[in-house]
Amino acid sequence: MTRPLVRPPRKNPILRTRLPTLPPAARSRVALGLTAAAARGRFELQVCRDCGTVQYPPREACRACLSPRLDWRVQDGNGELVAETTLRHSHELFFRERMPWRLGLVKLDSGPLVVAHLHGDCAAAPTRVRVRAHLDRAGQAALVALPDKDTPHMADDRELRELTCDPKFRKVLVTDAKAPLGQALVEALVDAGVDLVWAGEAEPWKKPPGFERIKALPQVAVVPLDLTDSRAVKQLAGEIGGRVDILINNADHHRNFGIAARDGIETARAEMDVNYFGLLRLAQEFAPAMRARGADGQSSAVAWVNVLSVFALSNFPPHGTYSASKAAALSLAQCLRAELAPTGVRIVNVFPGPIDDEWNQTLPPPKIAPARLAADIVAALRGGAEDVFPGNVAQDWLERWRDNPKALERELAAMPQP
Amino acid sequence: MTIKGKAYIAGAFEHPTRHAPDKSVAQLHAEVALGALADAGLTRDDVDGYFCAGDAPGPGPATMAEYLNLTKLRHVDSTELGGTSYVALAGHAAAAIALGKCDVALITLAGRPRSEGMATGTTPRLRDPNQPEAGFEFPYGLTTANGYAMCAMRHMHQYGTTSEQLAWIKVAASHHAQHNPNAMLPDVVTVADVVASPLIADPLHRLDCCVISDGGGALVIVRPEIAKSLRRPGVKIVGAGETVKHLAGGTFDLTTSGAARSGAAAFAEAGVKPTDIKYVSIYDSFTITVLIQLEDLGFCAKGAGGKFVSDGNLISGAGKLPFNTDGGGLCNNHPANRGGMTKVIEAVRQLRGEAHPAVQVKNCDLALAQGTGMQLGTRHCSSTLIMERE
Ligand SMILES: [Zn+2]
Repeated sequence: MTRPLVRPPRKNPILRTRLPTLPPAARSRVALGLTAAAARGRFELQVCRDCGTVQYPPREACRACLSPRLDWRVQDGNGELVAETTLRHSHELFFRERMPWRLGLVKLDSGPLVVAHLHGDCAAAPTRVRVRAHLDRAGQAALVALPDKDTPHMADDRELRELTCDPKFRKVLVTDAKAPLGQALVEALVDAGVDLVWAGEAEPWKKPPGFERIKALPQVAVVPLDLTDSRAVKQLAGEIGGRVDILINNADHHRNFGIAARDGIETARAEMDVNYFGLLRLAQEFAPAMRARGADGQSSAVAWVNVLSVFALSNFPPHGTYSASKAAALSLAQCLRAELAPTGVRIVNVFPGPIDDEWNQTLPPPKIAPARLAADIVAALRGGAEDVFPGNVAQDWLERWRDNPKALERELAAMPQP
Repeated sequence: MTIKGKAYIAGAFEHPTRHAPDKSVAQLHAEVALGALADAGLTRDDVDGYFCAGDAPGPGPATMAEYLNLTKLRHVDSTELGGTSYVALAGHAAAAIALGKCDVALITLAGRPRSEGMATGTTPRLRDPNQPEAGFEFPYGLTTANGYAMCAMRHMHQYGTTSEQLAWIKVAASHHAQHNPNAMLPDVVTVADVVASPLIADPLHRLDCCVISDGGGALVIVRPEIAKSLRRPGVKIVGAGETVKHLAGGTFDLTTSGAARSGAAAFAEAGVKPTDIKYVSIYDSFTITVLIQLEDLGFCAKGAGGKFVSDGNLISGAGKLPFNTDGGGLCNNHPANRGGMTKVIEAVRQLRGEAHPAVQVKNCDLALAQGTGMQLGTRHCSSTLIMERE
């Protein structure tokens, strides 16, 4: 059984921080389909449209009939562990630093035989297991075999933790923690067992309901953080930047309307200043320290979460300038992801549909409640996904966008202005 | 159409070095080529067929043909089957000779993984980025050693095979290596020594794994008429088989190797059966490799390998099936991380009666060399060669 994690001792500041190493990352283009699914927390394999064969590894042609008509389909991952071994010597630096490393061969019920990382609670072969696809530290899909049934402290497994960004015993910075979503995030993180949450406060004079209670939680420290103030961001990074394991950027400036209903650019500029330049300021000041701490022991720097909007995929004209600022932030987040890739720090982009808050009052339901969104973000950190589409609206938009982005653009254009 | 009796191994040479930091790979190829030609009583000008595999520097056979200055070539073959390539190439040479494509075939192997600091078994090698499965095995830490280890795990589960039984394979090899002055590990070890050595990948211990050595070897294979004109004892090739075994979409049995198919083909061509064989060279990258191949070749029933190899049954003079009397890859030599060549060479020594007297098999008139190249647990090549004393 997995031994529960214990709070790591205070780090000796004199000891050198280990440089991050990554598992082998090369994949063929078609193989990235597995990664694309794992990025959304799914295990998908190619299924032949002509003969129905499920195949692995992913390739360009069906292994049974050589047909190129292959569709990615969600798998249940159930199978039997056929054989296992424990790697005790390797010259691959990533594994060398993590010995011993358990791996096995799993015969999936759907047919393929796959190599997979092996959770410590899987019984000796042969035994039933569940295979999941997670992103590994190199950002590529990796299969991991979990025990047939959940076990206590399962998430604390050493190999599984390499594939996830579990907040347990980590230190987290939440920007704009006073907002409804910010408060919900702080609470969800405390429930998830974080060591410490820095709750960023942009406007000290505001007294939103509930914040006093959050402030009083022993794991919470309120820090001044206005994303529109470059000096303030720099100053906070100087104080806590070297200790942030997870950064959740929830700051959001949201106003209604598109172009015609606006006079001048001040509202749009304010949206960009928080939603786009705010992310840029944070990235410039906080990313360097996180980059250096990608392999800093049990509680390494592990994730950077951007709360974007599903409007970033395709402009929602009733919230037109807001959509544009979120699209800009998405593009910048992709740049940040590329720059942090060598360090193993994961960029998690969250694309909620309309949140049930004051700036979406005029929108009809369904809208996602802040508490539900916060729970989905924590679940994504634990599950190791990097693209999260919480709620029905976001899922619906995503499917329509993946199916035909032009059709979605036309459908959104046809929606009435508020 | 058969190769049976159509070609003879006239020259065989194993480089005595096990550590060659001062030599190049091409130079080692040249030294073993000269050694095998001298053993046969032939010269480079007699060579009209050249055979090499993936260890040869440069793309295909051209670079080494130039380095060796082979100027009369009319047949070349650079089939790459991993470590067993040279067992297969001996069969290919016999086939080429049978077809009249060449008269004197030279096969060379050389490499210096020890000098180049290339650990095998625990290191994922650099792979062709176009290899479609590459991104789905190495990122899990799958290397050579733990791939074979999972075959051992499965064999233990299915048939009750034990680490102690596997250890007997190493013990037998070490009994032979003590008589080989060139062997890298000449000390006799016990079952207890093997199971007490550190685990590399469960259940394989360090002493379940072959050595990493520099060196090489070469063979000269000729037409019967030429063989009879030479003064060396005649070693006739009578059967050869080869195959590839892969995952086949998951319909894969971890405890069976390609030897089941390549062995059957070789026995059929030679018209002999396992009980006729007096000596076997069995590829021994790991102890489990030997056990699985012995079963697949029919020396014992599938699953009975553990019992079969126990109690010294593979030790020359003591057991029923003497194997790898040079000490094999486990104790003697595994040049270029490829053991196929030395398997054929020791079989030739046995058939000629030129093995060390302490390990020479009496009346050794029929021998078999068996090799497995690449990764037993996923995809591998297998080749079998049966040779007869004239
Ligand atoms: Zn098909």
